[in-house]
Amino acid sequence: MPTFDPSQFGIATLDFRVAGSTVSGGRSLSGIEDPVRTDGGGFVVADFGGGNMIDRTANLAWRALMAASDNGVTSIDVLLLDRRHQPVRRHGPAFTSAVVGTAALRATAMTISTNAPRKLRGGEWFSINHATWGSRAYQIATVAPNGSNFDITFRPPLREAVTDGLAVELNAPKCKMRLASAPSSAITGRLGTAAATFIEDMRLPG
Amino acid sequence: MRESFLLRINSSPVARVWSGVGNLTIPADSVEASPATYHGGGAMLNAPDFQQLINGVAERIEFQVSGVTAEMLALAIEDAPSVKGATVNLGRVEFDDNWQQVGSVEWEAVFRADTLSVSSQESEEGRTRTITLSVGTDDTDRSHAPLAFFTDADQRKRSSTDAIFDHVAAINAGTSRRFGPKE
Repeated sequence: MPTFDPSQFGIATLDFRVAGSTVSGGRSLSGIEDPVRTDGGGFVVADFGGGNMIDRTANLAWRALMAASDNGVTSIDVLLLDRRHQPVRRHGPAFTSAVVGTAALRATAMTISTNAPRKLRGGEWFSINHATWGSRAYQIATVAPNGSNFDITFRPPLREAVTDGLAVELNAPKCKMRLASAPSSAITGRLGTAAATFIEDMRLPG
Repeated sequence: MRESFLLRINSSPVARVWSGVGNLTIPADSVEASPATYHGGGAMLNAPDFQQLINGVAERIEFQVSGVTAEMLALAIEDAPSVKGATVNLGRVEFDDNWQQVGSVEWEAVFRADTLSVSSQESEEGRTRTITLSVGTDDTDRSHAPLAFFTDADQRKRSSTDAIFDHVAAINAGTSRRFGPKE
């Protein structure tokens, strides 16, 4: 599977979020509107903008990736690289993180162990490489220390049950996604820029 | 409160989709004999409004599902013979703030599948293919209208050789017909 690595393109703006859909009950006489979410937890969306397409390597890498994505039909492993907001340090030591205990399909809480150089605060992204669904990204909502481990809650719900010891990727989270709109824009030239939006690929694997 | 909808088509094999994202496993209940996994994502396009059948009349509604996912496409191709007449259940499931299921699935309505149609339309974003499943309320009779009139058509439906109302069609208002033997 091709991999989209934003660091190749000098991406200037990025936005990772969990998107979903709601149903509203209509605006009441009091002016209040009560929405209900019907999507069962939502899916991950990643926006990349302001890619710097100034050199030949970046241009060709971008074009190759767009060719491989088949206008959004083929799924791509997208690296959600936002190192400033991950518990990592520049040139910092390598570290490992793993699931402690088990968590069921659609769980939104689990315990992890990590020796990341910076403290987990919530808001970080992590990914788990599931056996069937591939790499899926999750955003940490809350963190509570539990001995030497951390109890975390996260969104969206787990795509697949996880077992004890499964690796948790905090360094370079990766998510199986596809291009949301095709073709993505890339203006090449001396001041070329590129932008792309990816959404999580929720087609049944296999 | 958060809710999602489940659609179960008792074809062979059983098609199970829900309105959320990813897989959802529900516990065994009156509809599912054992815990079953529902597939989410792009499969279920809409869940139409329907009426609860309380002193009501049977209704006909249409479900639209995706025309490209393998599971749904199978409904229209290899599983098509088992879809006609299959029981269709529509359920509702509630979740708490952590997206964990609360209580069991509330099965709201039972339908019977009748016809499947595949439509493919061109739009600005590209071609869209959907499968429309037309279902009618189950557990109701679908009888003919009662034979209410002394007309030849109604009588022949009841008894095809009986010609007693043969001349009814010729009687208009103001026409008088003689009874008794011809002279």
